[in-house]
Amino acid sequence: VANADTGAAVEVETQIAASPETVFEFFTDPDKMIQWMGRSADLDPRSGGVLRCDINGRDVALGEYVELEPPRRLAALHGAAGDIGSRRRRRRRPMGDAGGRRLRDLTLIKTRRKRGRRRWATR
Amino acid sequence: MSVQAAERDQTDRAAKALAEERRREILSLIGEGELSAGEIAGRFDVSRPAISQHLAVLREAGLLGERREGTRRLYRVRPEGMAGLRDFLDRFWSQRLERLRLAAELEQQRRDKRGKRRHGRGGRGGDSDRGKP
Repeated sequence: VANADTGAAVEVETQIAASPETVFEFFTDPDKMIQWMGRSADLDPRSGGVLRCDINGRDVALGEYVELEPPRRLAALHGAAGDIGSRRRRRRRPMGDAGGRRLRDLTLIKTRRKRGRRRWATR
Repeated sequence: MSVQAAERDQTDRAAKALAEERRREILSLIGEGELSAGEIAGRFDVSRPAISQHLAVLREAGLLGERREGTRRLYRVRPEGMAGLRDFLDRFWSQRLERLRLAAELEQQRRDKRGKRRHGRGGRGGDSDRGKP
C-alpha cells in the first residue's frame, strides 16, 4: 500500500497454498473479501469499478479498481470515505497544490507461482 | 517512562496529529520539498496563526523538522517520525494477510475436494488448477 503523495509505503508478502485464481477472488468477491477484510464490501472488479469496504462499522475505505489482470495482478486506488467529502469541499474552495487527489493510496497485489511447489505468494 | 511507553506515546501523538485533515494536507505539501511557514500558509485558505498551530502540533508529534535560514524557519518532513505508525501498519497488514492466507487455503481445500469428487464420478472439468504442480 503506497501513498501517491508522500511515497510512504507498506509492503507485505505472504505465501498461500492456493492457486492464484482462488487468491484473486478474495480481492474481487465481496463474500470472500469480508472473510479477511472488513464487515461488508461492495465491489465492481473492473477498471474504474467501485471498491467499497466497511472496515469496522465506522470507517469505510472507498476507491476504485484501476488495473486487473486476473489472476496475477490487481491495483486499486482508495482513500477514507471522509476524504471524498472533504475533496468536494475543496473543489468549491481551491487551495492550490495541497488540494490533493481524492484517492491517494494505491494497493497493488501480485500473485506468482513458487517454482516446483504448489504455493503462491501474494504481494 | 520506559522505551516502549515512549514509543507508544510518540505513535499516539503522530496518529492524533494526522487525524486532522488539514495537517495531512500540510504534510503532503511539505513532502514535496522544504517550505517556510509563510509559503505553507499561502497555499491554504486559512489564517497564518492557524497554520502555525498546525505546524506546532506536527513538530511536537515528531513529524516535522525545522531549521532557520536568516529570518525564516523552514519545515521539512521527518520520515523517522512515522516509524511507530509504520510498525502499526505493518502489523495490521500482516494480521490481515494471515487471515487471507487461512481463508484462501480453506477455500482451496474445498475446491480440491469438489474436484476429486467430480473426478471420482468420472466427470470432466472441476477445479481449474487440478493437475498443476
